[in-house]
This record gives sequence, C-alpha cells and structure tokens, in this order.
Amino acid sequence: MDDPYAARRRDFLKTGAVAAAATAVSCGRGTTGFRVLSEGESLTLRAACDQIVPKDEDPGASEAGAVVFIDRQLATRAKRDLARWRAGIRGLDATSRRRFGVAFAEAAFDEQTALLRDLEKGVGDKGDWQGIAPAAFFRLLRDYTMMGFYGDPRHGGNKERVSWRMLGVPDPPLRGRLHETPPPPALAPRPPRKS
Amino acid sequence: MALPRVNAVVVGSGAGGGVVFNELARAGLSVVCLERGRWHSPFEERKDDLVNQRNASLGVAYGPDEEKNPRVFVDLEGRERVVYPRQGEYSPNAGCVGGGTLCYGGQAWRFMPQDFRMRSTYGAVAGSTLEDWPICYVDMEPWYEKAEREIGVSGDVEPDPFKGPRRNPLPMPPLQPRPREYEILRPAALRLGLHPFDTPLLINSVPRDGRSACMRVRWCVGFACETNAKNGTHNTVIPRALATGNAWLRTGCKVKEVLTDARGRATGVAYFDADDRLQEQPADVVVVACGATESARLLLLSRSRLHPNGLGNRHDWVGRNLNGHTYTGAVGFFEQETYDDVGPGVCISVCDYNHGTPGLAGGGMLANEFIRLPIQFSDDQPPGTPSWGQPHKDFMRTYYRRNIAVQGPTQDMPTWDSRVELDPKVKDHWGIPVLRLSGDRHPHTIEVANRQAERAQAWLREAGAVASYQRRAGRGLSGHQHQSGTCRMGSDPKTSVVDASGRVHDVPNVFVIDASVHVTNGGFNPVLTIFANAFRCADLLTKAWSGGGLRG
Repeated sequence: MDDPYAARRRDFLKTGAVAAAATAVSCGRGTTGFRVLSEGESLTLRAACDQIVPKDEDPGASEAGAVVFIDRQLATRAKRDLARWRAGIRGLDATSRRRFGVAFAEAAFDEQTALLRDLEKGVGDKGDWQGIAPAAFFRLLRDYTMMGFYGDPRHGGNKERVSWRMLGVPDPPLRGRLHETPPPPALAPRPPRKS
Repeated sequence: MALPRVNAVVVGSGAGGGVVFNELARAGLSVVCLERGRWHSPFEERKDDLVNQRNASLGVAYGPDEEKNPRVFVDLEGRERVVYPRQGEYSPNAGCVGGGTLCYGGQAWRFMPQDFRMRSTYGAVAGSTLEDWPICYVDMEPWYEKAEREIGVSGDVEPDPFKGPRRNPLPMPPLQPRPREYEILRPAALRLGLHPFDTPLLINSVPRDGRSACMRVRWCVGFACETNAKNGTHNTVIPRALATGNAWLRTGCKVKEVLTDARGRATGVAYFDADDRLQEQPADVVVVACGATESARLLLLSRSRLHPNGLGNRHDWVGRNLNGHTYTGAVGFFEQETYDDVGPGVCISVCDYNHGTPGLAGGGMLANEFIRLPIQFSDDQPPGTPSWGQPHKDFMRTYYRRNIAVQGPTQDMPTWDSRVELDPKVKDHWGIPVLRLSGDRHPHTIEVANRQAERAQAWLREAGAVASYQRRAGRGLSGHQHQSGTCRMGSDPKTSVVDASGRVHDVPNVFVIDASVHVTNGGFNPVLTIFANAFRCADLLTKAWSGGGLRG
C-alpha cells in the first residue's frame, strides 16, 4: 500500500519555489505594498475596517492587519469579488463626499459610523452605488474585517494574534502540549469590563 | 480500455464505504475503493480557523474541490443559483479519504429503539413521509457494538436511562479532565431532574490502536486531528483493508456512472481518474457509498434502457426525503469564566427529550457545543445586538470566555419534496450534470426544534446564566453533514429504493450503504448508525457472496 503519511517532498519544494517567485514579483511592483488595492482604496478601507473593530485599549482592525488580509484575499481566493469591492469602496467615498464634502477616510469618526449604519440598513443613494448594493457591501466589509481581526494570522490579519490575546485565548500549542500546561501569564484573561 | 475485473468496487471511502471496503477485503473478495478526494495526513494539518469544514469562510480544507464541483440550489421562492462547497446551501460533506470521518466532531450515538419505529410510535404525520425502518434496534445492537470497538469510542453512557439495551460498555473511558462546562452544567441538569452523562465520542481518551490519546486542543470539529487521536475510516478500517493485500484504494477518482448490461445487472463503474482519463472498472458487485447527496446523484446518472430514470428509481424515490437535522438550542452568558480551552468542548449530554413529549413526534439529544473559535463567536451575538463597532468588541471581550451553548439535532420529519435531482443545465468539471437541491423543512420539525431551544435555555438558566437567548429553527432545506434519506431502505419496492440489506430493489448486484438509506435520521448525530449499518450490510453481502448469488 502507499504510505498515506509520506511527506510529499517534491510537492513541498515545488510550492516553495512558486511562492518565492510570487513574492519576488509582487515586491517588484508598485509602492503601496498591497497586491491589488490602490493607495486610495487602502486608505478608505483602513478607515472602514476601524469602524468595524475600533481601536481602544486594544488594537483596532487596521492595526491588526485587516486591510492586508482583505487585499490578500482579493488577490487570491476572493478574486471574483474584486470588482464588487472596488465598486463598494467607490460608493463609500462618493456618499461621504456628497454628505460631508470629504472622502470617507477624511470624515469624522462619528460621521463614518452614521454612514455605515445607513449602509447596513440598505440606505444609499442609487447614483453612488453602481455594481454592488449598499447592504451587500456592508456585509462583505463586516465579515472580512472580522476574519482579518479574529481569524488565523497566516492570512495576513490578526497580526501577532492580537485578537486572541485580547480575548485571553492561548496561543496555538506546539504538537505535544499537555492540557495541564498553563498558558503563559502574559495571556491571562482580563477582568470583565464594566459597560 | 477496461481495467482487470475485481469482485467488488466501492464508491466512496467515508463512514459507509470505508467499513464495507474493509469487511469485503477481510472476507477475501478483491475490492477496489474509488475516492474522489485525496489522503490528508495528520502532519500536514494546519488548524486554519478560516479554512476548515466547520468555518469555510475562505474555503473547505478537505474537499470537494471548490471550482470543479458546483451545485445548484433552489430557494423557497424558487430562485436558483450556483453554489460552491464553502457555502451552507451546498450541503457539503468533506471529499477526501475518510470523507466526513476525517474531520467530524465524532459524536458516537446509537439511535434509540423508537428511532427505528417512528411511524409506529407516533402515527402518520400529515405532509411527511414518516415511516418505520425495515429493521429494529435489536438487529442493529451487535453492529453498534462492533462499530464502537473497531472504530473506537470513548465516553460513559451507562447513566442514560433512555438508551436501548446494550451488552457492553464503551471501550474507552471519557476524556479526562472534564472541561469546566461539564462541572457547571451537570448539577443544573440534576436539579432539573434530567439524566446527564459523558457524551460518547469517536476520540481516543487513552492511547489505542497504535495512536495517541486526544491532546485537547480547541480545533476539533471541522478539522482533521493533528495527533491522529480522532477515529475515522481513514485511520482504522481503510488501512486494515489495504493490509489484506486484496484491496486497492484509488484517490482522485470521480465516478461517472454505474454500468449495466442487457439484463439490467451492474457490470462495474466508469470513472475519471486523477488525470481526468476515463476508466472502466469491471466488478461483480458495486457498492455506492458517496453520502446521501452524491449517492442519489450516481444512481440518477446511471441510466440505461432497462433503467431509464436511473438505478432503483422506477417509482421516483431516488433523491427524495433528503433530511439532515434541525439544530436549535440556546446560548447562556455567565458572570464566571466558563472557558478553559480544553477541547473538543462537547462533553455532557441528556436524552431526556428525545421521545415521549405529548403532542410532539420525537425530539433530540441536547449537549453542550464544541468550542467555538473567536471568528465563530464573532458571528454569534444575541439577536438585536450590534454585530460591529465598539459594542461588538466589548461584547467579545466580556463574553468570549463567559458563555455556554447547549444545542441538539432535532429529528426531522422527512418530506417528499425535499430532494436532490440532476440539474438540466449545469455540469461539473468532468461534464457530468450536477445536483440541484430544493425543498423545505416540515412545520412539525420546526415546532419540535423550537421546544428543544426552550429546554436548552432552561438548562442554561438553571446553571446560572445571567442572560441567554434561544437559537430557534428557521425554514429551508435540511441536509448538510448529517444528510440522509435519499435512497430509503424498505421492504416494499414501490415505496423505497433498497431492501433491508442495502441492495437496490431492481438491480441485484448494486448496494447503497451510507446514510442515504436511513428511513429516519434519529435525534442524534448519525455517524455511528452509518458505521453499524455498514457492518451489518457488509455481513449480509459477504454471506450472499459466499452463496454464489452475486457472481455475474
């Protein structure tokens, strides 16, 4: 029989080579550091993501890498959604300019919040929203920001596991950890917040 | 060109197929198992919160391949759309060696005696195709025991007074230490007069079968086990089958149809191999074990002059009665910490509500839930509370470590119009018509499931939850990982697809051995019943083989 657990060394090397090549290519292109987002788009998203998970005593979404996460997904697994995201970002800025006279990223925090609440309810000027409905864009923004904040760090978000540390969830164990081993003290849970 | 003839070909290597593969090999038959997916080894398991079978936001981890396997979903308004495995409407099951057993949570429930006698117990339910199984619990008992022993189950069900008679305890004790949720929920259940006990799990609590005991990580349900402590067909019966020397597993093979001759008997299967080359595997016996959605598809695809509507489909029963479970329950919030990061999470259950409530046909088991990862919990707020912004972040910080979810699978009332069929337009990567899913839940299922949610909430309140909310049932097709019912087992060929041995009524050498044949699906996770029934049917099949009746 085939050994089901035999490491596929050749596949591993091949994948490594392709990944290295891909990195080289992307480093040589543009200056934003993003794979598909323009600088302007990334700034709009940065502000929008920080509305979904704002910064307080713990990092907010953008600091945790949510924009990097979204950019990476739009370049790979979520490629087919790129046009919808672009349309949504345009819609966000257009609405903001009309309402507040500035791009979304330049608007005041509370103005941004109010605008997103409207989108969540499906309220948006038809002229601003071509290519995606306001509520659909809000859903994408909300879900991807959550993934970029609470998801796995390997996808570019949740940098240094900030959200897991915030929640007091231990780092992933190395294989062979015993359940008796206590989590490192730095990760001890916070006392409940008074709300 | 046809490959060398074998005695039997098994399509699918999940809970049903894996068991049959080994049982036929052990009986000395030459057997080929065709699996559409590939092997996944514990050493490549990467615990990805966003890519697994439980949370597939960025894709499924163990197949089926996203782009090659679309389906068509028809919603309650009749609108159709193409769906992919990462979407719930797809009703995905893992497509890999071991199938769902590679990455399930592994709850190892025996159905109760009443679960095989739903029609006799509750009478006809209007609008439902509710029926008795052609076999009963006593027929299944020895095979349940064999499944518990051969695949490997831990837990302690002795305190459950509602279970069917059993001759022996489970082969492994419960996982130790018990999680904090157990200590919180158990006294509350006892105060309510319930009968709590350790959930049976297909997880090693002690080293067994050359593999280690569970290391209690939070990445369990939806993930392959990186220490190989979770027992599925991929690490038990399939390696044993391969060790016989007369069994072969071919991966990456997509079966196109069951081939039949002029007499209407099966002669083997046609499939696309890993390089997309069309192959023909002749065999005396064909076992279809692709899960309730894909098994029905394969029968429907196998058309010929004598079987113009597909195998076993003379009376239009193939693909009908699709049902999984209707999951409902409640989430409670506590002042004290409930989280201890001790996986898998589920550890305590009650069967007090499976049967016997006046006015309700059946019910279901209730248990605490598997650990929900932060990304899963982020979607899990009480209705009406903000799902983003500062309030959501505060909610996460306050309650991630202070909540318990109790839930359970309500036994569905099967319905004729919940079904899979072949889509007339959309084809998969190989040019084969894809499945089209449509239908709705029976209203009584929703009624029972909502009662279960109230009961779960009462348990959490008794346990000290300061706030709680119910997860109630909604309309829509039932299917998903617990998919069943599409090739119903029965003694009357006019109202079923296979007989009590799994043999297709009008094709003497084709068997369906997976959850497709479940007449009803119990108020439990169905996998142990799939295992047990596969052992039982394989035994009948090998006896028939020895008698000579199955040889072409």
